[in-house]
Parts: sequence; structure tokens; C-alpha cells
Amino acid sequence: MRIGIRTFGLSIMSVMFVLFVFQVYMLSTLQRIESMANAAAHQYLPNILQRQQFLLNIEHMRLNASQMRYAANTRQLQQASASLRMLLADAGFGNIGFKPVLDKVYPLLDELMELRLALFKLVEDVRRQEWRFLLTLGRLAEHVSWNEEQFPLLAEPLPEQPHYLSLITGSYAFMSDSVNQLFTACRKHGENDPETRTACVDLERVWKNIGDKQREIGRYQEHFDLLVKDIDQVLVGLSVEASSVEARGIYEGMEAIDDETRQIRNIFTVLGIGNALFLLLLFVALQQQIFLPLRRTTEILRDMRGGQGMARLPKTCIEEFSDIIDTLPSLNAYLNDLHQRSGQLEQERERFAGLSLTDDLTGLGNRRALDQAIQRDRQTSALAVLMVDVDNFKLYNDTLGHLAGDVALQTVARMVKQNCARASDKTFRYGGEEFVGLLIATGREGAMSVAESLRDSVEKLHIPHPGLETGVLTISVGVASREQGETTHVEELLAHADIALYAAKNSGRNRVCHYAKEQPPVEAHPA
Amino acid sequence: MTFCLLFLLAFFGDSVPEAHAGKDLSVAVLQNYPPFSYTDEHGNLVGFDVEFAEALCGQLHAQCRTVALPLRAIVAGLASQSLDIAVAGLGVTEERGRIMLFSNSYYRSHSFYIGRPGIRLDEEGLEGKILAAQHNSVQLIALHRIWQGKAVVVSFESHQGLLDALVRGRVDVVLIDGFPGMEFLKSPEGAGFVMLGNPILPRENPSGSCIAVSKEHPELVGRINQAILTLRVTGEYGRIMRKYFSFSIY
Repeated sequence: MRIGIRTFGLSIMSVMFVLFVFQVYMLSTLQRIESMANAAAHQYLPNILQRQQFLLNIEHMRLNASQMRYAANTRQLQQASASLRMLLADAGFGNIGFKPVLDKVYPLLDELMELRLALFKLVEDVRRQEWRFLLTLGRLAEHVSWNEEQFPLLAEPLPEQPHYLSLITGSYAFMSDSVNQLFTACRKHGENDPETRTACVDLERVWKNIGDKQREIGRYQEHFDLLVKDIDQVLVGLSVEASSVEARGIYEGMEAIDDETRQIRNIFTVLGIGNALFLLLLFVALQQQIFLPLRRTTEILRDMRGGQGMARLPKTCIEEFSDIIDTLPSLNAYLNDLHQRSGQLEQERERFAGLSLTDDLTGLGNRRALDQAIQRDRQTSALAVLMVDVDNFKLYNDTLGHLAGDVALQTVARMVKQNCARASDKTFRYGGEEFVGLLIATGREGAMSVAESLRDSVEKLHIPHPGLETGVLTISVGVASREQGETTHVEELLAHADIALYAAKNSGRNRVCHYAKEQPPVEAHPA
Repeated sequence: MTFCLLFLLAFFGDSVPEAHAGKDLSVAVLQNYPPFSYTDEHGNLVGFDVEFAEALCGQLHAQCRTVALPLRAIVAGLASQSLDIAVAGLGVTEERGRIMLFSNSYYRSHSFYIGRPGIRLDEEGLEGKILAAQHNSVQLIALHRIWQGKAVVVSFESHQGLLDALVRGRVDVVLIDGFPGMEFLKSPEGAGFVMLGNPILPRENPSGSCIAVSKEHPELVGRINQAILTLRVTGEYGRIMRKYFSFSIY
């Protein structure tokens, strides 16, 4: 598989985008949590506070209801009722949800009020009857001169507190025995006394009346208590409901937050793993597809520069990079070709160097130049050949070193050149420490004179030569010549000059000898 | 990822509190409006509004100068920005909204009618009767709305003037705020008067009683709301409330 570097970049970008989407999702979840926290602070908390107040007011309403039950007079009743109504209305305004329940209380309250007012009236009625009973009883007692022994009712203890149901009716049932006893006694007296009889009948009628009213009050009271209980139940129900609504809200909110937190934790985990995997993959991809191939490529390029063979090519999926790597073999081939060509060029250069006619060290003509000069000779003019050899040069070299030897050779060559100074004179290095001079149109005399001058000028240089008795560097010269008209070949002349040189060496060096056919060489210079 | 972090920071980096400490504020309460503000037997200005204003100023870290004024003077003072805030149980009305700012409610507001027992609250029952409310009040607006053309509606400059008129029989029925109304019914002067019908929540004032803030200090509104919440949560509100009411007024 091969992908472009753009695709590679895009795939990295898309993975990062997916991670980014996760982050954004997480952000929105965090915002949801934040809004829940806000709701807790700005909705649940105020509501809880309000509920607290609401509960306080419900308890106050129950107190008001109880106050209505025990109100001693209409004003107390009305105040309690007004307070209850106000708080009811209040509760309804502040808690729309409870309004239907609260609205149930109003008719109960109206009924309660009505009943309570009727009850007040009844009680007043009873009280009047009681007064009548007591008055009649008092008059009767006075009339028949009863005392406490005869009629124990008068000795009954009075109730401690003035009750709205008056002095005696509170203990109506308790007293019925003594009252019946009273009536029996009364009837007995009344048999003789019509006034007493009338009073007795009146007393009995009033007592019965009181009894009826008492029972009626009892029924009213029962009804009243039921109503108060109903109201109380509604309020208690509200109280319980109110205290649980916010708790429920908070509980649900906490559960939701719990869920969200779990979700966020999961996303964090997934995101973390995703991030780690992504980085790992990225690392592996970079390592495998870019860094390793890059290093191998570098190595290959280095090898190529060193002229070594191609190693195995690295592989990569990145198209552009792969293209670069694919050019390596052709590049290598091109380099090899270049290398080959440069080798040929070197050979050429060497070949051309071989065609040179000059001796590198001394600047004189070389052996090849000598050969050419020999070939060019027409054998028509006079010609002299000087063959020069440095005396004991091997020893000089061995003692003073090759560098000094080279310098000495250069010096001698310069002397050769200076002494063979005509334009037609040619000088060559014959090899080693031997030099050859070709002097055109020069006879024996001239050649000997040049040779002698040459030998002399070298000696006069006073180049120290530790291996010789004389202590200075000297040369020996062999001379051969042909006169005008002779046809001796140059090579022959060279051989003759060599023989003459040999003679010069043999006769003690630092001298010039001319070739003689059957004679020993002539010494030009006495030893 | 760095980008995401920056993104997150941008979201949560805006909660810097502003300083408003040590500033002098002139605070108005209503004149003679028991039990919210009145003069006790020692001549001291006391009442729920007075103490609540004190607590509020403590929360705002401000030095407060409290003055008791009639409703009309308070509205005018806030409009002219000579007063900074009013802790006077003001309800939010359209007209007031134009000249002052309001906090959240600091106690509930509802109203009821007070009159002699037996007066029926209908067109027939109120025939020839005079209805009254305090000048500039939410209740007066409500009276006008409900009884316009059906009964005579008059207004009184002060709360006390209104109640005096009722006691002396110059008016027959008054519509007043619930809590001062209860206070009146319990007072000796209130003997012989009863709550007529059930309490109402005037639609002119659905927001409850609020603290009015001069338009000079828009930044105070949020801080007052926060202070109200704080006072309620810490129980300070309840402590003050219980001194003047046996029930909750929030």
C-alpha cells in the first residue's frame, strides 16, 4: 500500500479531529454537570429554603386551626381564622403545585367558622338555661329551707376554671344521680305545695332542655373536631409532601450527576487509551515509514559515494519518499558510469604523459627525445656526442639521501645545459646520473673544449661529496665525434662516447676522454 | 490538545468578583409601617425592614444610613437617585420599572381587604361604600383595575393615614398588604374589623416585595440577590423574621 504524504497528514488530522470531537462532547457533558450544580444552587436550594418556610407556615396554620377550636370569643376566632386564611393564600401563591390541595381547606374553613359561630350561640343558650335552673333551684331551696345535708348537690365542688360550658354542665353526667334525687324530693314536697310543684316541673323542664342542648353541642363539637382533624390532615399531608419534593429533586439531580460523572470517566478512559494508541501508532508510523527509511537511505548514499555496491532498498508507504528511494538504483548506475568514465580519463592522461619528451626532474630532454633526435639525424654534418656521468653518484646518494641526490642531478643538468649553450645543441638525461649532449656541427676540438669546460665548471661548484678523495662532486665525460663528410651513425657515436666515458672512469674520474679506435683513450687532462 | 485546554479555560475563567467595599449607601425604609418599620417605645427605628437592611449592608460591606420616609418620597428619591436602595417591600410595577431597578423578592406579598364584618365583596355589597388604598401602592392600582366604575376608590398618603380613616369610618374597606394587615387586625384599633374574603395576589405585583435599587448602581442588584440568598441560607433572615412574625414571610 502506498499513500501520499498529504493522505498521511490528513489521516493524522482526522484521528486528531475524532479526539477533538470527543473532547467537545466531554465539554458538553461537563456543562451539563455544571448546569445541574447551578440548578442545585439556584433552584433546589432556594426551593428548599422556601419549603422550610412553607413547613413552618403549615405548622402555624395547624396552630391557627387549633386556636379556632379553643377560641374563647368571636374576636379570637376571627383573628385565628384571618391568620389561617392569609397563610393559606400565601402558601397557594408560593406553591402553585399545592394550590388544589390548599383550595380544599377553604370550604372546610368556611364550614368550621359557621359551625363555631353556631356553637357560640348554643353555648350562650345553654348558659342562659343554666342560670334559670340555678335561680329556680335557689328560690326553691330558700322556699323549702333545704340545707346541704338534705340536698348534697349544693355541696358539690365547683369546677376550678370557668369553662365556656358554664359551672355545672361540665359535670352534667356526673351530677345526674344527685339531680334525680333532687327531683324526687321536690316532687314529694310538691304534693302539698303547688308553688313548689310548679317550680319542680319548671326545674325538670329546664334540666331536660339543658341536656338536649348539651347533646346538640356534643354533636356539633364532634363535627367541629372532625373538621379540624380534616384540615389538619390536609396540612400534614402537605407538610410531608412539601418536605419530600425537594429531597426528591436533589436525589434525582444527584443520580443524574452520578450518571454523567460515570459517563465522563468512561469517556476520559476511552480518550486516554485513544490518545496513547494514537501516539504509539504515530510513533511506529514515523519510525517505520520515515525515520528508518531515511537512515537507510543515508547509508546507501554514503556507500554509493564510497563506490560500494547497493544494499537492499528500504521500504516506505509514503509515496513521495518512496519515489526518492526508487531513484537510488538509477542514481547508483549513473555514478558507476561516471566512475568508469573517470578511470578511462585517468588512463588517457597517463597515456598522454608517456608521450612527453622532457625529463621531469632536470628539464632536459628524456630518452625518448634522444631517440627522436637520433632518428632525425641526416648523417651529413659534423656531430659530437658528450656522455656525462656524475662520479660515484651512488655513494653520494647513499650518504646524503635521495633528495640531495636529486638536487645534485639538477645542478649538473643545469651545468650541462649552460655549457651546451648553442641553439642547435641538444641535451638529454640519458638515465640515472648520465647525461648526453649532442653538439651539431662541432668537431673533435670543439667538443673536447666544451667537455673540458663542463667538467671544470662542475668541479668549481665545490659541491661537497663525502665519498670522494677530492671532497667535491665531479663528473667524467666521454666524447665521440664525427667530422664533416663522415657518416658514422649517432648510435655508433653514442657507443663510442660510452667507451670513452668508461675510459675516463677507469683513468681516475673527473676527466674528459675522447674515443680512439685502436688506441687507449687520450687523456685530455692529467690526473 | 493544548487548544482544547485553552477552550476549557475560556469557559471557566470568568468568575472574578468585583470589589464594592466600604461604600456609603443611603437606605430608605417606609415610615410607620409596622411590623416592617416603626418607632418603638424608646424612640428607636425598628422593624423587619430596618434589621434586614442592616444585615444586607453587612453582606454588601457598605456603610448604610437608614431613613424612614413615606412611599411617595421613597419613589421620588430613587427616581432622582438621591437614595441608593429602598428596603420598603416595594413590588415591581411597570411604572416603577422605568425609574428604578429591583432585586429578587425578599418577602412574599399578597393583599387582603379589611372592613367591618358582613360586608360582601361584590358590586351590590359595596354599593355606596368607599374603598381605599395607599397612594402609589400596588394595592391602589389593583383597586382601580377591579372596582373602576363599580365603587368609589380613594387613596391615602401614608399607611397610618389609611388605617386611621378606616377606624374613623371615613372609608369602609381598605386593600392593604397582608403582613401589615394582620398586624392591624391584632392591634386594639383593629378590633371590630375582619378580613373580607380571601387574600389576593394582585396581578400588578406577581414578583413579591423587592429591594429597589437606584439606576445609578446597576452592579448592586446582583450582589443584593446574592446577599439575600446568603442571609437565608445562613439563617440570619429567619432570626430577624422570627422577631416580628410567628410564621414565615418568605
